[in-house]
Amino acid sequence: MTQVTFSECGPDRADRADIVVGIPPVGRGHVLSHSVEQADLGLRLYFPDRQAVIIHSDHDLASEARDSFWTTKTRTPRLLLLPDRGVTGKGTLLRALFRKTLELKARACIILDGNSKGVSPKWIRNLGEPLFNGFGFVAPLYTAHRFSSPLTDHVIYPLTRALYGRRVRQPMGGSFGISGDLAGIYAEHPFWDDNVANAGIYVWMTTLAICHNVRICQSVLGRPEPGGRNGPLEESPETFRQASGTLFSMMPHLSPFWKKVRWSRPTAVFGLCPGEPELRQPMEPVRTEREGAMETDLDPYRGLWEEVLGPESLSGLDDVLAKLPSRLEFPPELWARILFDYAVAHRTRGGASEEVLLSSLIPLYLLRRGAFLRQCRGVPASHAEEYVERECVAFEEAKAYLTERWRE
Amino acid sequence: MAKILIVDDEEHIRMLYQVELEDEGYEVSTAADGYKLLDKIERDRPDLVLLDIKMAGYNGLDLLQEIRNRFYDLPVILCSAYDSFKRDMKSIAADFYVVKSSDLTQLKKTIAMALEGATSSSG
Repeated sequence: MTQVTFSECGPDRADRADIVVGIPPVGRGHVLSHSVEQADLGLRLYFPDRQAVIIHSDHDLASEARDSFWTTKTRTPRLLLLPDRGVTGKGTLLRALFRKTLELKARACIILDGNSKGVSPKWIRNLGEPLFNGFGFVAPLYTAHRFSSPLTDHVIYPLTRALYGRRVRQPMGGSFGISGDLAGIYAEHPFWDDNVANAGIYVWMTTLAICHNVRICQSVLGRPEPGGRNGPLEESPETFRQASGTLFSMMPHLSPFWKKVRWSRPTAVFGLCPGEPELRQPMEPVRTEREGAMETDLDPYRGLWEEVLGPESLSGLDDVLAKLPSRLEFPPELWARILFDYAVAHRTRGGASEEVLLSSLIPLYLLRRGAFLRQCRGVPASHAEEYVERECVAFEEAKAYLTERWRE
Repeated sequence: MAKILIVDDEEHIRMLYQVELEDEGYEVSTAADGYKLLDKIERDRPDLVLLDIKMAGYNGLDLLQEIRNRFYDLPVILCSAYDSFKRDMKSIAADFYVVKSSDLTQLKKTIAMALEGATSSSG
């Protein structure tokens, strides 16, 4: 792995810190200002006795976000991490932040999604406080649910949960809290590739936290703003390939761990009010034209599917395709087996053909997502999670199939 | 055999569960409410807790958070006469959610899964 160097700049000095708040690169300057302001306020309100520093890492030399980072007034010291020219990737920039956390000997590192308008001082409290109370990894728990993150709902969450046995609902949720110890593991971990260096970083972080038996907590962060992180519009084929590619690439390295896991376990939850129910709130539904892949020409993928899928999966898929376009039914049990088939194929093929392999999975994912949306049409937001839960149980039940195929 | 702690404010439920689960070979203890529940768990060291949600003076969902924070890996199954509480995000800190029934088949199956899951994740 090539070591990437970073330079630092800023008027403030920080040799030591208890808490680091890191903001990865964003596209819109005004939103970054909001996150910086809220972080500053949150640190002063909830951690007044802790030394803190706010760090932004950005590879774009002409970034509007960088300007807004400096012009936003804060009492907390700020630092900018600048990679060498040409270095990009959210994962790479976050890893520099983990190294800086280690260097500052910080006990807590809070990563804030600079794209979300929903960031408030409470996010700082909810992501940071568990780190001073025995937890090593804090994942976000959003109260909004209306199929707002289908890649998470249908691929990343059910796979992570079935494989590694912890129910981290938003494994690529954009805002996290990690302990200084875990930052050290992230900074030095030998498993690293191009997918992790980009959008696969959050999947990598969540997976390593689980597999290092770190105590995990999920913190209630309210609702993310539509169009911000986890919004369906941000879900590009590239993000799909990088996130799912990360998950598949890590599986061979972590097979001694996941082969032992049966079913799944919960985590602790932080940020709930005693005595008050915490219900999911409705969000804008995903736009209907994104429902499925029925308009896509599926013929070019046929050959690869025949290579990758097991006989039962292929026959199940043929049943699904035969009913199109009048009916779209894609059982979660079949979807689980198909993803497990792809995991096996990724191990044996991988390398240069990874992009082709994962691209052939996208139409199937769109079909599954479309079938799910049709099934849940009209279902209240508070009930929608039960459908995701059923999908996850299907993955856990199908895991024996994966174990069997993995031996081939 | 595994030790199970039943927390329920209805005596007949405690008795029914105790008899049925002892027949399955489990060692069972009971608590009528959430009073000093964490101390009792610390003392008895159960392998699994069956926790009622609506108890006089106690909210099982709030007790669940306290249990999970202090005994991170202790399996907890929520048992309620209502299925509506599963939509409360607080319930995600439980391993499973079971709607009460006089037929304990589902509950017994769920207990076996929870114990198996706990063993495999600690391995």
